[in-house]
Amino acid sequence: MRVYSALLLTCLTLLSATSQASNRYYADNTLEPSQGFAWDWGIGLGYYIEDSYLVGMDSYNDGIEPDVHLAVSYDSFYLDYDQSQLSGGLTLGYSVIDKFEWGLDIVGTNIQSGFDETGLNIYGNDVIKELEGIRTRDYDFDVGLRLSRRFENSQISFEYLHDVSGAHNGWVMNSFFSQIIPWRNWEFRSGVGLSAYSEDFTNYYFGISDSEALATRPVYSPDTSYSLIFEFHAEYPINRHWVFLTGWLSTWFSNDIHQSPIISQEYQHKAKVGVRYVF
Amino acid sequence: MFSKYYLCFTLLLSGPLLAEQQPEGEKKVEDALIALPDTCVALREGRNCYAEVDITWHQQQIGNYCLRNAQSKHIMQCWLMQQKGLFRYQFDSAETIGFELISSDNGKVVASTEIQLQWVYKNRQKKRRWRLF
Repeated sequence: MRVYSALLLTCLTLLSATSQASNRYYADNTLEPSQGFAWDWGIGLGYYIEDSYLVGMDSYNDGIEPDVHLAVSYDSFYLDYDQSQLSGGLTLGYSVIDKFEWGLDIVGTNIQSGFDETGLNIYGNDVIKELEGIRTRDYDFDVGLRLSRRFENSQISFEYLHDVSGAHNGWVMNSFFSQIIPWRNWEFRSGVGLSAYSEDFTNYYFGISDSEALATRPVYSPDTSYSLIFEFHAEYPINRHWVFLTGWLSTWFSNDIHQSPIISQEYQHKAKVGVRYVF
Repeated sequence: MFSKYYLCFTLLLSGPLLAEQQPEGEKKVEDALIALPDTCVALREGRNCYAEVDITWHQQQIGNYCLRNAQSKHIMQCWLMQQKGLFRYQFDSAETIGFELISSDNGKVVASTEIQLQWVYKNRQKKRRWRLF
């Protein structure tokens, strides 16, 4: 167990810098929630294909990614670290109200991955010519409230989060509808969401300052921005410890993001298949 | 001549041994109630698990037998004047299920087995956020 713990901590440390985009709220409300302390964790490996929105990156990226997953809950507290698909991050939460199918939670999580002139960290250390000279955009950590309404196997949630890491010092609002459909031993999860990002957020990640500007990269000062997200995910238990995973994510960005000189297109697609060992 | 006597002697000696060993081996096979697969794995604790299971049985004696659910005592199938049988069962449960083969002549349980339920994830928190991408 000590070896496993050390391995997990090492993996968490190594992989905490590879998160990207958003995390979303899913729940199977047909199940009775665990009481007291409960936890699961596992490690795995996956193959991804991505059409990224950053300039200078191939429209067809693929590779192997590790998967680390930890879910811990104790009464009203919960912690999730999940790399089950293409990326992951730490989410901490506390359930303030959970009554009559309504929930109010305090949550803290990473919303936007950082990047620099090498692109997103998972793509290696080579400088991308089109991004050369840009300052480093740090990972954020946002804290706020989530209001959710549960239905049998779906829920709708609204979040207002504010950056506390000092990265962009802006706000993010998420609305998300998600559904879990078990079919035989499969679990299918799908979700659609709309997010709004403050001017501070958009400017920090997608703006171009005077010091970054070049003849081919003009100064850019965006306003509030939006994104629309759709995702689908499937899991199947191969046996007591091994799980097969697959997923698809598509994101579309508003003009204030996709007109940025460091953004090549108004959409991003990503798909992945993998396996995970759950201890 | 010597070889004939030797062969007869050997057979006479080994006969009782064979007579004792063979029924034991056969008994293990014949008095069996076997479910294959005997385990069903669900993704999350509390969720139903699905599997197509072959439940086979063998008995030494030809007779009247019934297969039933060990918990509910619900009779699933009966066989008349048979020594073996097969029942294809659609497992659909959130709990381990036991099965019993009973003699329909006297109602006694002659063999039993179970399909165990396992699951991968034990944490069923409602507040779970899956980070997909």
